[in-house]
Amino acid sequence: MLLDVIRDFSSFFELTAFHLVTWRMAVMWGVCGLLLFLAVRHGFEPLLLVPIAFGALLANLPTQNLITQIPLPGGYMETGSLALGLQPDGDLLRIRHVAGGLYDFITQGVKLEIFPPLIFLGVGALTDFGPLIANPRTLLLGAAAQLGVLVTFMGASAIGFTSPQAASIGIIGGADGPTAIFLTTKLAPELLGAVAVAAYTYMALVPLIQPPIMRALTTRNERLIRMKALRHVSRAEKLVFALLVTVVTILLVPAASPLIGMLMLGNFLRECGVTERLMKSAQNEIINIVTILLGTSVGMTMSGDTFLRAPTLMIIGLGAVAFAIGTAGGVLAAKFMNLVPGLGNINPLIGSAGVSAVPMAARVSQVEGQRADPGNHLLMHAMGPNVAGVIGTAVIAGYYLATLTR
Amino acid sequence: MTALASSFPVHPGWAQNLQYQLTGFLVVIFTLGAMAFLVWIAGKIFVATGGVKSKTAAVSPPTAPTGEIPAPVLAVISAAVSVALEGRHFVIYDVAPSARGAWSAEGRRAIYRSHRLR
Repeated sequence: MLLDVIRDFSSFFELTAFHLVTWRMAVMWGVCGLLLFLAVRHGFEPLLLVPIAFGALLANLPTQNLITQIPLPGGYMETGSLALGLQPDGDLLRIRHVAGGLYDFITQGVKLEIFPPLIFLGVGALTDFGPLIANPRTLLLGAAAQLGVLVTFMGASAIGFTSPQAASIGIIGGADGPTAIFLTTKLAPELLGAVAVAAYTYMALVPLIQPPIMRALTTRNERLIRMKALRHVSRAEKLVFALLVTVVTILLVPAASPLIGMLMLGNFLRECGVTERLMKSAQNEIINIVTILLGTSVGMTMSGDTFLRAPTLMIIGLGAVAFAIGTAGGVLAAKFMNLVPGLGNINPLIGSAGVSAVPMAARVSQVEGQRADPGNHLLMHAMGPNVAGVIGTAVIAGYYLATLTR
Repeated sequence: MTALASSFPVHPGWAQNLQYQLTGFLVVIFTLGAMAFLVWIAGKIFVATGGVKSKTAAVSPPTAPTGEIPAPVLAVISAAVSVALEGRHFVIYDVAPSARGAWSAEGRRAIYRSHRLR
């Protein structure tokens, strides 16, 4: 009797998953723990890093009925694949059954590029483009800050990454998580986990990365520049802006349509004043739900086999370079504009906000401005290049998509 | 774009890559520059047609009072104190200029309170 119990108990252990744990999984538990620690203890982009880290933890456990992982050539794992059973029905094939775990279905939102544009819908509904409309020249700062993306592309390409991979790494410098995920899913899905983690980690580190660069590239007199107060922008003007950006950007860079279209739809819902319920849904329920699903789906791609590779470290290093160069590009562009008659009187500290990371980068401009002059308020001025950076990153992503998608 | 799409290699040379990135930079500058120009034009039209009221001079820096504080200003200060104290009973005995930089200190306090800056 007792022996039978012991035998049954030991045979039960054969049904558990302990024997399926690998050393890579154990290392990834440490990585997930670090990400959760940074998010929970230090507030590093917790809304994104918590779902990503938790998804990564699930990806590094021997789960069942959660996600399918299929090895691809090159040693990478394909995640979230559905198996369709088909049977002939006359000239048609009828779906007999669909097999897949929970995240085989949910990650289709990333694979089919549904989640990032939905996030942009919420971002548009949350964004006030008033400061940008009142001072449209700050759009150029948002464009200049994309320098980090372009230079990092070249650096990544030089050390051996393919052009699509280099574009996915470079876009980290845009400091726009949804755009980075959108582009990487399309061009280099095998790098999705590393790119997403690098993008969101560096976005959280903006207050540490940017100030030294801003101070190094500006003189005290430049940091003391007080900008003219922004004019009032009417609702009608904001509506015209949303339509104008939609039409102009999509005509010039059609590949950016999903991002720009949804961003401006969200903003139109916000500004038109007659769709309050839709606006609130976009600002809250939609963006929150999609953030959970997007974050965990991205985390699911971070299995130890995929993540614990030398390219991951390179991507994280290149991401820092991209951020730094993007910051420098924005600051230097503001300094250059001060030399051009009619464009001048710009405090170069707001140039760094062109790297997106809304509104963290704008707050850094405000803090640095007040460090030089406690009476100088740059926050609203910095919001112009900040939101321009979102548009600029979507445009450069569209350029890469149009030219690199085979 | 079509020519680029069909010709840009997976592992480009240095010069080819530089040309590609410069083209990309021009695309971004041109797109956002065109947008800036159109937004600027639209803004001019709105201002000229009276669709926008100029409010740039609405806020002027406070100056130190040289004599008696005008009654309307006292009323505004009292109202602000009432709001800040959420309706609790209070009596104002004295109104004096604040220390230099109080507004910026308040702005900084508000920012730090609402966001976790590191």
